[in-house]
Amino acid sequence: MTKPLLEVRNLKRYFPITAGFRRKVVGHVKAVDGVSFQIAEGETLGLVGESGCGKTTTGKLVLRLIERTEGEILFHDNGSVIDLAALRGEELRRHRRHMQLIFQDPFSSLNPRMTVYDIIAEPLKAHGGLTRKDIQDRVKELIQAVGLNIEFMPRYPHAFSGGQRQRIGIARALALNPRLIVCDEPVSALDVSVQAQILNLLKDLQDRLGLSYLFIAHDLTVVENISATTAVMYAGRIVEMAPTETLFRHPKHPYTETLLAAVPKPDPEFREKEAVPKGEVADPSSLPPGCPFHPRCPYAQDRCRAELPALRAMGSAEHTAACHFSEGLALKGIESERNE
Amino acid sequence: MSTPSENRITAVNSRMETLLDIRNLEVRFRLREGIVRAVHGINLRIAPNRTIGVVGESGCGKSITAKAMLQILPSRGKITAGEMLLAPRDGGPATDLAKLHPKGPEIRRIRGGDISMIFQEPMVSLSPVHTIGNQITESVLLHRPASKPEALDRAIEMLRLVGVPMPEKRVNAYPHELSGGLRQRCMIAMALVCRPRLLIADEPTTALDVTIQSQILSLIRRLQRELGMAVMMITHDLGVIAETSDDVAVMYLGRIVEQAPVKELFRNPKHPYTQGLLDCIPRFGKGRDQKLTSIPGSVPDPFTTVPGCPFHPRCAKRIAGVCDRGVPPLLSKVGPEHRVACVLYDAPRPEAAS
Repeated sequence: MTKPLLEVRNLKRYFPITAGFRRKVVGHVKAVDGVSFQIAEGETLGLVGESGCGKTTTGKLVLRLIERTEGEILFHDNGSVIDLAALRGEELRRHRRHMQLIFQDPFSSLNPRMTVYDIIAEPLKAHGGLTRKDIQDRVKELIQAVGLNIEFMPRYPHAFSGGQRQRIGIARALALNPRLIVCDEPVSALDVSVQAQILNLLKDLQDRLGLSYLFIAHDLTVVENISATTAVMYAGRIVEMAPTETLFRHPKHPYTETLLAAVPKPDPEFREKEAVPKGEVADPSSLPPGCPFHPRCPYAQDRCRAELPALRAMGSAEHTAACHFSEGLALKGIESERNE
Repeated sequence: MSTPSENRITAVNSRMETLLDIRNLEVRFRLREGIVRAVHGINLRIAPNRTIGVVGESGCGKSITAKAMLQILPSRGKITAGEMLLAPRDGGPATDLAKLHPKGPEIRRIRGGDISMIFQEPMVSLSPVHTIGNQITESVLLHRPASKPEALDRAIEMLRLVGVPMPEKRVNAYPHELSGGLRQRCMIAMALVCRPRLLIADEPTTALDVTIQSQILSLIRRLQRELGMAVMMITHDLGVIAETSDDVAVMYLGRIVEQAPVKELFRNPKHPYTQGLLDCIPRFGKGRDQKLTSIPGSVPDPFTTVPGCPFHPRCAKRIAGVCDRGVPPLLSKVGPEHRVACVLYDAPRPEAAS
């Protein structure tokens, strides 16, 4: 691993559940419950899980769009380490320019009343210090960097297709030369043909600019394609994390196996060979005791119903999983190069 | 190769079993900016007990085709040509859905009774102010001679069939009290409660998690086996097509550009557009160094008319002076059941094209 850029330690976010006239707090939704990970410079961490597992909340916490309940968000900046969670005001603003966000829905994330030029120029104006000429040059450069035509600058978002809008969103995110981009489901609203274009663009930009990505997605094939390391979240916790290839080939948590098996394979010969996963997505406001996955787990035993498993190393320090029985299970990952 | 009994069954199927025969269907939209031909003369035959997959990028006309079948086109859209012949339940002449008035009694009998549809976003398609039970029984009371308590029993039985736990309780729940997967199950229950002969599923799992998607797709397969209905599966995801369909139609800009049985299509795709779609799916096991192939450009906006083959501006195999002239018709060039609309396969030596 190269130098770490972002280090998250034991991050928690609890949302209170209130009841009655006095709004008394009767419980907590543990949306993110003790998440730790590292992202190295120029690397991508993929964060996968079903809806409601806390992956988007984690992304927002890292950017401090919402406040943490507990934990540290350490940002490595030229040798010094800053805890983003403790910053306020001007100082926070200064460090935030290193981190940007790309959204899922390219239709609602661009202001319909602003031109493409204004959308991309906005962060440049907000962080100041540039002349009008500088801004113009930078916007042109950005538009070309994401594969659009500079003639598009005076147009409004409605004139563009989903893929083109997503490129505009990426140009906006790149405007301030960030070091980390949180990509929250950046391709799940796009057609497959366009999805491939955007993924290739994100990889190109990473190679050219040395960006780090926190890549949040529910589509495992997409995550496999872009991430060096993948973390699987369930009910607010990371249940397995490993280098992507290891995780996909040799999963150590039954939930990872379930997710991998559920992806529809683009090959009619494989139809119905895999077991259909059972149960519903976990409800973080009322989790079962013990391992939160046990009601859906085909391998659950008594211990799983009573005791919450901790994340522990599986063979190598890079591969961690939170399951009592990992060692005894022969879990099925994906086979390699099956389609060739 | 096949046993005599299998031969007999396929012969019987091909002779009599067409549930819905769509011929040369054309849909136009009259908009301020001009006329858009959203569906450009398509032909589809839907048979009972089979699933036809319709796949294409957004804007290719796949949802509009489905809406035309039920006469629920947006107000500016009109069926301008073609026919859709629905085989009658018991003898008699076929009904041409294209000729029915969108608000007339005949089409109302057919909607929900013979042909049902499930939509992508269950929260938008269910009424937030009526209970699940109310919404399911509405359809029963409309289409079947049943009293209210009987209709409620059928609703509960249907919810049990689609795998909703505690159906007696859930029948009184409102959509917001249910998870996305349960809502989609309720919508399927609503669509199937009158035992339709054709279920149109328009991106039924796009808004769901992969685990829930896999449950819903296997549910649709199971119900099809049990009820013997035809399914039209509309999706942009070739993975979903591979898991559910028997036959596939690939659409591009309002036209079917390739049509084949599912295994044939995946093993032997012929149209450059189909090949492009298959190539750009990220596949497992190739890892991070895999550069995804993509189809250059994007679907053109519907007002621009592309001369010649609609796909030629994005096609890597286009032949100048040929592809920009005439629109290639959908013909069986590579096999009896495999139709493709591409001039590459017109040559006297079809193998030279691959």
